[in-house]
Amino acid sequence: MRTAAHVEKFRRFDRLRARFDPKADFELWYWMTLNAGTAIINAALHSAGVTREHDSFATQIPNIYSVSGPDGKRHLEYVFGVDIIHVGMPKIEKSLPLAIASAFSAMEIIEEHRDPCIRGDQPITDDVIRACSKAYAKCVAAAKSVIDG
Amino acid sequence: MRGGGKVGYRRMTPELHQAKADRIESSMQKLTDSDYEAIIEATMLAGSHWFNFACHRMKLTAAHADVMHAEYLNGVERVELSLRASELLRAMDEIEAYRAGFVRGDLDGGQQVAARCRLLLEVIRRDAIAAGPLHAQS
Repeated sequence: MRTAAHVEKFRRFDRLRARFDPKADFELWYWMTLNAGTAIINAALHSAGVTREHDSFATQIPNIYSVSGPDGKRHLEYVFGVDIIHVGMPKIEKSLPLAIASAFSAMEIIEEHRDPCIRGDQPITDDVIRACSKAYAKCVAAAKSVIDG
Repeated sequence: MRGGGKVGYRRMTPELHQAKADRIESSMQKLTDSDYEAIIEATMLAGSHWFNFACHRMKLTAAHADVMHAEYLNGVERVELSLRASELLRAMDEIEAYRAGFVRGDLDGGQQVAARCRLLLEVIRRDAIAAGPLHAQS
């Protein structure tokens, strides 16, 4: 996607995140955190020229994207160096600016809780919520510092 | 997700999957179809728990070997599911297919897709609850 579209997605996910109670609605609160973080990181990556703006949408398979053909119909293609779907997926070979590396580290903290707490039944504790909240704030601040220049 | 689609380090019983799906569906009550990204993701997440519930009930997968996404099934498992729970599998695939354009992308029409995903989740829940093991004839 384009940088502006990622920023708009981030705003939507961030607003949705705020609608959920971190404890009672942990699964969706967490998932909006994850999606918002990924959206703002994609915007930062494009802004820094690490990845390219591109009119394609990421599928769940790395490097396979939905693209629009000349007739407006969408089809799948391999595309490289554009949107990521998770930190490290697809892997970025270029070196990262410090602020983006910091955002990546923060997202990795959030991602650690995904399988245990969302796919599995690891207890959702105040510590987990605090760790995710703190990492999210760090991720967003770091990514915005790149986007805002 | 990195490195594969099987989640094998915990034991999620059908009852635990149902409890997780119920929690997610309860949180969905805070959403309208204009919140389409969240609806699509919520139906994917709740649907995944119902999907694993069904796989365990059908004795297709063990409690320690959940499948993260339907498309990560191996070939034989997928063929067997397409025979035994075809609508459930199609519904999961359809929800997953919307994620590129409406969650990771910015296509128009998200509200209609959200409404569709809510219906698909009802299909998934219905078929998961009806799922059971095959009986062997002597």
